[in-house]
Amino acid sequence: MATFEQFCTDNYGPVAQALGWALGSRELGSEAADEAFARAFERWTKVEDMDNSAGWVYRVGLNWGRRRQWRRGREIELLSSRRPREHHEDSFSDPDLAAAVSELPMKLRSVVVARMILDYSEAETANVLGISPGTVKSRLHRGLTKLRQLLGDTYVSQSGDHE
Amino acid sequence: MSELESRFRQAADADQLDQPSIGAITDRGTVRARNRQIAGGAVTAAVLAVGVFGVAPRLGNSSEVVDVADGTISVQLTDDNTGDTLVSFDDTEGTIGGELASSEDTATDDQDRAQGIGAVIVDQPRLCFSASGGEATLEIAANDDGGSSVQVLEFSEDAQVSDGEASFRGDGVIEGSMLEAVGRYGGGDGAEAADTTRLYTFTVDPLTATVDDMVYRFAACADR
Repeated sequence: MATFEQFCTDNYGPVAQALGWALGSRELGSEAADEAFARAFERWTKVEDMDNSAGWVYRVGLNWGRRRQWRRGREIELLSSRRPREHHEDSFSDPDLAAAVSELPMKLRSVVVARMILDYSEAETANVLGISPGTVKSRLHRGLTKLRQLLGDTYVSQSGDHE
Repeated sequence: MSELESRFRQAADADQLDQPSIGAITDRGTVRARNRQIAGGAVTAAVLAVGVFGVAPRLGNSSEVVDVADGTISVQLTDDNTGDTLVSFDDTEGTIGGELASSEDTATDDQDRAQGIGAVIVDQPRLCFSASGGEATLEIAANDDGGSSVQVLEFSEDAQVSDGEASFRGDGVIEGSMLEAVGRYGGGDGAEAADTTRLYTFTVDPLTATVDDMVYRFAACADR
């Protein structure tokens, strides 16, 4: 059994990074990771026995971050009567890609990030997000297709050519 | 590896994060655990007060989070200003008065919804009211993390004077009045509760919420 400290050392970075991508903000991703890992610690005897403890933390952080975004957005909305906007500009090394990811609906985004950033298999992604492997495959395909459309010219310039 | 995958990989490599302070995380988790432990008794007392006196506890500047976790209900009230947990209570089904919804709605075959968890009707919604006014939020979450997910109902002082109707917003938020629901629940029996539960019977996808999802999870709950 890994200790919580070892679990944290091994998984905090990837999970926080993935949360940053999924939530459109590295800062919020770190906050969400802090909260999610604290919850993991709180329930460690249960979490450590999970098939994918880090995946659970990812999901918890994702949910927590979404709620935080909603609250922040709601505050802004109430104050300014404008719809909340997600922010995706904070210090990603590839801001165009981050911006494109943030344009995806969360259902697609969470799958894309799990597969592309966390490098989870389809089965792992399905398990973590509580959806079927077929749904993972479908959402990944739709997500990547949409990303390619969104990236357009920047995709060409960064990657050299289209797939 | 596709070009897009390469680009993700490059970005991931470039965006490495520093290691966190594990001590800070464990401290935070310890505080959370302690708060939950302390809070359990407080909610029990509040629930007993409702049962004995029929009086809705007024918990002041607080909001409630209701979590659904594999058949259990967790109620948590947090201070709106500080975020501190005032009270929380886990595994409340049958204790705090959580009632499973019954509905004519049926689940769809939509694969995306096949993992429905089920909405819970909390028949002690009084716990969620903020006596000091302002805005409070009732949340139902669909995983066992003790929090998280999408806000599904919010209400304000203004809303409390309306007629108890709920309305759906495109972003998955249900807005509605609570005052009538409070009254009904105050002396409510099962039938009355069922009559008003639509205010509370939403469901949430852990990531996004749609009205359809809500209906489905409502139904899923009834099947449990």
